[in-house]
Amino acid sequence: MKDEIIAALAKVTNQDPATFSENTVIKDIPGFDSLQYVMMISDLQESRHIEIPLDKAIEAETVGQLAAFAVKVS
Amino acid sequence: MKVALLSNVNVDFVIRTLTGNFDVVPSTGYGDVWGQLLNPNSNLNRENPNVIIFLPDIEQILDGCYDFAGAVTIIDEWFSRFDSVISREKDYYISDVIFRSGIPADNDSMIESDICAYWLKLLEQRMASHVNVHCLKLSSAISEHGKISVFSDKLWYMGKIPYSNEGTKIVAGVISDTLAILGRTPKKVLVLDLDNTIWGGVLGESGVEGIELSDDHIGAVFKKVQQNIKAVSNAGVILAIISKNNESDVQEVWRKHPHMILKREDFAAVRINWNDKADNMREIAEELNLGLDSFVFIDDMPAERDNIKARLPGVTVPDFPEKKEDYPAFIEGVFKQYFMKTRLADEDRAKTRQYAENAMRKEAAKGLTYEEFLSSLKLEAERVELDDAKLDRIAQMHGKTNQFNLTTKRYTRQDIERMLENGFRIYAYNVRDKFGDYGLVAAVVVDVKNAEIDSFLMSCRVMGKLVENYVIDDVEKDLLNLGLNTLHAKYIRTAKNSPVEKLFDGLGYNVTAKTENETCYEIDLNRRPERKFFVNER
Repeated sequence: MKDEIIAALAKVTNQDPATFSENTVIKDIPGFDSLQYVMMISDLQESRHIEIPLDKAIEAETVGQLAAFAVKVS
Repeated sequence: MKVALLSNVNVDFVIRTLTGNFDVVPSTGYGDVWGQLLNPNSNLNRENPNVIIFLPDIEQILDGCYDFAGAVTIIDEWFSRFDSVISREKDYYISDVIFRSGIPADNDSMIESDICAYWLKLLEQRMASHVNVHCLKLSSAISEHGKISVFSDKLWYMGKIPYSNEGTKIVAGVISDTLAILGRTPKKVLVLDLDNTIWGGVLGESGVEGIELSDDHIGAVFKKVQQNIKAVSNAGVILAIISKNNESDVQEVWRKHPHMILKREDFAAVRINWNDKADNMREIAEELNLGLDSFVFIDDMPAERDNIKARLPGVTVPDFPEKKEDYPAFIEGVFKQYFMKTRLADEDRAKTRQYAENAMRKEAAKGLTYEEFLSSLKLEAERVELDDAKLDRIAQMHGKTNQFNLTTKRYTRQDIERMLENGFRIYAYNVRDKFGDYGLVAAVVVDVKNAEIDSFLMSCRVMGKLVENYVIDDVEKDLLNLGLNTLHAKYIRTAKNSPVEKLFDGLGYNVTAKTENETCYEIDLNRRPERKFFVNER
C-alpha cells in the first residue's frame, strides 16, 4: 500500500518515487499544495482503488500514516 | 485568447488541467465571483481575460432553499448581478446546472428539473439579448458519464471540490472543445459518399431492396446516421454527394426506399459518376463558389480518402470509424469538431436550400446572354433597418467573408455597435430573385466623418450579378443627400480577396495612392458614372 501511495505522490508532484519514504511529511514536500494532496487522494481512489476515509485523509501527515489508514477496495 | 474560470466552488483542478493548453488566469481562490468582476483592482480585472467562463454550483447558490419560488428569487438575483457586470468587450460562457447530490427527500421530486430549467431559461434570455453570452453545455456531458463518476463527495468535503479527477477531465474537455470552436473558422460543406456511408452495402450489387437502411440492426445504424446528417444540414452546413455509382440507381433509392431520411433536395451539389473524386470535388467547389479549405469529406474507402488527402490537401478528411455502432456518434463528432459555431444565424439554416437554388439559376442561365440572364433573374434588393438579428448577421459576414471583402476588417457585433454610436453609417441589403431569397448578403460600413468606405463586403452567393453596382449607387446617393461631395475608398489585399481587386476601378473611382498591398481611391459624388445593374428596388 505504501508503494502505491508513493507512486500516486510521485505522479501528482512529478518527482522520482525514490525521493519519498514512509516518513515523508507530505505537507513539507517542496512545492506541494493542498490541491495536489486532494488530487492524490482522488487518484488513489479512482485509479488504484485505494480508499482512505475522509477523516483519516485530513488527519494523516506522513506517507506511513496514510498507508496505515488505506483500504484496498475491489 | 485569455480565459478566466469563475465559480462559487473550488474548480482549481479544472483551471490547472486547462492551463497547459490555454492562457488561463491563475486562480486566487473561489467564491468571490462578483467581487472579482466588480473590483477594478482584482486579479481578474488586472489580467483582463477576453473569455470568462462561469461554472456555478447550483446547490451552493441555493444554499438549502429547495422551494421553487425561493429558488426563482435566488436565480433571478444571480442573473441580475450578471447583467450588472457584463461588458461588450468579452465573451461569457455560463454553464447549465445540474445537482451534484440531489435535494433532500422531503421535497417535490420534480423541483430539481424545474430549477435547472429555470436557470436555463434565464440564460437563454441573456443569450438572446447579448450576442457575447453563450451556454457551456456541461450537464449533458455529466449525465452521459454519470454523476457517480463525475462528482466526488470525498473531494467536496475535503476542499469544496465538486469534481473527481475523472470529472475534472470531463469538464475541462467540454471547456476545451468550446474554446476550440470560439477560436477556429468553421467549415462549410460536408461531402458524403453513398455506399457504406449513408446506407450499408453496395447499391450496384444489392439493389434498392438490398441496401442496409431500416429500423433494425445495421440498417438502424445507417438510419440514425442519416438523421444525424440531416441535423447537421439543419444547423446550416451545406451537404454534397460524391459517389461512384449509377445515377439512375441512386435516383431509384430516392424514389422508392421508405427509410431514406436524406432527400435529393438536401444536397446542394451531387456528383454520382465514375470520375475521379478529386476532380468532382474541385467542380463542386467551383459550383458552390467556396474554397476547398471549407470542405470536409467522409468516405468509408481508405483509398478514396487518401486520394483526396494527397491531391486536395486543403480538404479535411477525418478517419472513418472501424466499428459500425460508432458511426452515428462519429457524425456528431465531425459536426462539433469542424462545423459547430458559437451562434447560429438564421441565414445559415436556409443555406443548403439557397445553394440548391443557385444550381437551378445556373441551369436557367443556359442559352441567354449574360445581361439577358441577369435580367431574367428578376433581382430585387432592399436596404434594411438594422435590428438585432441584422447586426448579428453583419458581424457574422465580417467574420467569415473572404472573397468579396475590400478591406477584410473582422468586426464583431460589439465593434459594429460602437461604430454606430460613433456616427458611422452601416448599409445592409437583402437580395432576392425569382428562385428565392438570399437574405442579407451585402453590407457597407461608411466612416462619415472621414468620408470613407471603411468596409464593403458581399456574400459569394450574389457575386457576379452586378449587385455591387446597385449597392454602391444607393450608398453614394444617400451620402450625397447627407452633404458629402467626395467619397474615399480602399482595397487591402489578402490571400483571398483578389476577385475584388479592381472593383473600385470598375465602379469609376480614381486611384489616389497605391502600394503593393493597398490601393486608395476617391470619387466625386456629384459626377458619378452611370453604372449598369439589373436590380429592382423592393
